[in-house]
Amino acid sequence: MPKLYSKNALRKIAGLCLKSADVLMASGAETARVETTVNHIGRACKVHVESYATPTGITVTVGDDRTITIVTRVRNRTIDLDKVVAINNISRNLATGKIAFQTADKAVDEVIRRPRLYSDTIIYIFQAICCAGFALLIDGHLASIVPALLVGLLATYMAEKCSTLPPFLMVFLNALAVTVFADACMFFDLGITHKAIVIAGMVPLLPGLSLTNAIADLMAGELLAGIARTTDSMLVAAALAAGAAVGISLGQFLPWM
Amino acid sequence: MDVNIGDFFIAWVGAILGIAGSAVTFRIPVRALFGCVIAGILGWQVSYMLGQWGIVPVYCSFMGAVTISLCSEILARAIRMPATVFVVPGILPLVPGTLTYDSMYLLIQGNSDQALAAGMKAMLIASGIAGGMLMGTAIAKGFINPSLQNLHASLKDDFAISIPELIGESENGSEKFGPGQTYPKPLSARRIQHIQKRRNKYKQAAERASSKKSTPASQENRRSPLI
Repeated sequence: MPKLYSKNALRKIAGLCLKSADVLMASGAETARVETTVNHIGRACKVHVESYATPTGITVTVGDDRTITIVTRVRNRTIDLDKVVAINNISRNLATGKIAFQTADKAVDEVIRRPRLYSDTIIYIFQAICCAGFALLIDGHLASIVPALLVGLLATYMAEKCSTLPPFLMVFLNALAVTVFADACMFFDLGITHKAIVIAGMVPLLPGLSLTNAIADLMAGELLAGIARTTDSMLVAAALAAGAAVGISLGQFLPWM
Repeated sequence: MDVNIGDFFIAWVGAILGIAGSAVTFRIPVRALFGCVIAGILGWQVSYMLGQWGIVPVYCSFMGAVTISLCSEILARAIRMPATVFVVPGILPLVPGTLTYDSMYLLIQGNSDQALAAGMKAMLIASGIAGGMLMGTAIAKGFINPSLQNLHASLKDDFAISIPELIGESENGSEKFGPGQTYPKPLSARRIQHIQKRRNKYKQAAERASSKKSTPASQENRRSPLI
């Protein structure tokens, strides 16, 4: 049965709920998971919790008799599944009684403060490896490894440089750069196809996480968030297609194409 | 069904590299990377084999997505991580990149009929992937017992965490540790011994420090000329 808490205690519980929900939403968890996490925290503390999460903002209300409501906006969303895993572990441990409230609070603070999992150099290297792998998968030529590695580096560099731009413009410019690079690659006759380089360079930009989250949300009955994420992934796909179209039509004017 | 072994091997290596690379890009922890690669490779393999047997591409990608989704739900229960972690890199090899590219290229060439056909195929395959993931998740939700779903019903009240206690405050202020309020877990005998040992150690250290402090005058006398 729910207990009566003082205002201060309620505020602390609401703060923990909101902090963890914010981290989850900002690092790419699905809406259903965010709300479930908040409910787990509330149940572990034996207090009534209601939450309403959308991809752009979260509301949490804590308490039965006297309540506290906190709202937060989620502004910059990135992909950082490591933090999702960490917060998930903390909430599970709290719900099963393995750790106490204060330990969980400190652990969430630590997760918020810690730097992202892999360094920039590692991300560059693995992005290049990823592009090379997809080029091999599409083309089947071992010669396509080198341009694919280069195009992976280019795509990561562009994504980092354009990160302040609106996301769709960033995706468009990135796709354009990748396609122009592929056009330029065709000047050297390496026996590889234009197609393989373009697709390999675009694989990191594909809205795979958005689509996965949209489906997970729709399955959990979160209609609003599911539709919002589907629209997001459709827009990203459209931006990719537009960038590729502009790049390919520029390539038509090149003498060696 | 004649598959060139060399081409197949190259495609296999490419798929593994692609899945592992994209998994790192999504910042998935190292101990989940192997699971990601397994789920992704199985799904891609199912899709590829069905394609070799001459089955419609939409159904191939549907079955591939179902496989990935089921694998990742099982792995999620085994490794205790969200299923999203294993799904997201795994579906990338199934994405109909070639068809989308063809559709774009044909559209620019002016062949809008063929472009539309290729684009339609790509859309169908993409929706096949989405439907497969839906189906896999639904099967997993229905048949694999969710780990945390029924947990709270089975929990007993005896490890109720009482927040006012932990924060160091209570409603009336007077009763800090009231009757009936218990801590999350009873301490084991070994733990209690450890705590007592540590307490004794601290006590002795404090005593030693205080006995040293009993002669402050001589220290001051010694230090003052230096400063």
